Amino acid sequence: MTSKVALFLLGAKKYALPVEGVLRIQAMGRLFPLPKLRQGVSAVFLAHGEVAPLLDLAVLFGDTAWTVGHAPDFLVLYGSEAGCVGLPADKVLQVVDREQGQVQELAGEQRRDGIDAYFFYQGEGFPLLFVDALLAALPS
Amino acid sequence: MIDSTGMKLVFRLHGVGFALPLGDLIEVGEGLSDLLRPVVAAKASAAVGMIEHRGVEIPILDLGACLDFAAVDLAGVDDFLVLAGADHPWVLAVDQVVGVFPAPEFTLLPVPVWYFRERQRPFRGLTVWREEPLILCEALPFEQMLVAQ
Repeated sequence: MTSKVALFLLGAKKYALPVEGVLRIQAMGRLFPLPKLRQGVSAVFLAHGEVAPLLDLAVLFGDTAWTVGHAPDFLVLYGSEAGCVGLPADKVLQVVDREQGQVQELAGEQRRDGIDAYFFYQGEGFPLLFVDALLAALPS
Repeated sequence: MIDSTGMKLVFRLHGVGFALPLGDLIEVGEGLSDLLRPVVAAKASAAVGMIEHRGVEIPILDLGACLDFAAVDLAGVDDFLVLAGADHPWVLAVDQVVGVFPAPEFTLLPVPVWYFRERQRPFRGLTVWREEPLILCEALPFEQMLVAQ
């Protein structure tokens, strides 16, 4: 079976996410702020009766942060090694076969914030999100 | 007869919901700004204000001090809770008291420590009430945290 990559938009940036770990993509539901959350975790939400963190890609990648009151329209639920986490998305652009594009690994000094590779598709490069690596790279 | 075992008072502060075991609550009050007394630093260093409660001055502690909320402006606060403390009651200013609800409405949830900046959670746990996670607010641990700061 060909592995697939979801391409999505958040703010002014586009990202690529391997779909193997995607549990579902749904409309953004209620978000709940909690005090002293780690940088990169903007709020929590309830998923199947459990509390799960929402990763703030905008903060992790140096963009303007959105606020809980003006959250993106979509929530990507992802099954990470640490459990279910949420990724915000303004729009899901496409889901494409990985073979239709090209994965380019970044050299050591080019890697940052858990981004190790780009997915190039139709001439455009999308940061390829490996959620477990992102979680490991969260600022403490 | 009403069974109050496990009942919790739900309140909000800085947009965050809290659930307080009813056993930790002494009184719910209104008009905090009218009851304020000058703070005597030596009496309670963590106090941001004092009120007279049943003939005794008791401290107002600011939960925001241990949860990184903005400092409470007591002049603009109306609702407050009088909570059981280690040595004496203490006061918590709140934005809104939602109500008191029976135990079956609350479900305790585990919350991984890695969600937070510090190695320890700034509270004991979360409980879900009506599809909303609330911080479990136990008076004594919070008082100890506030006084220790």
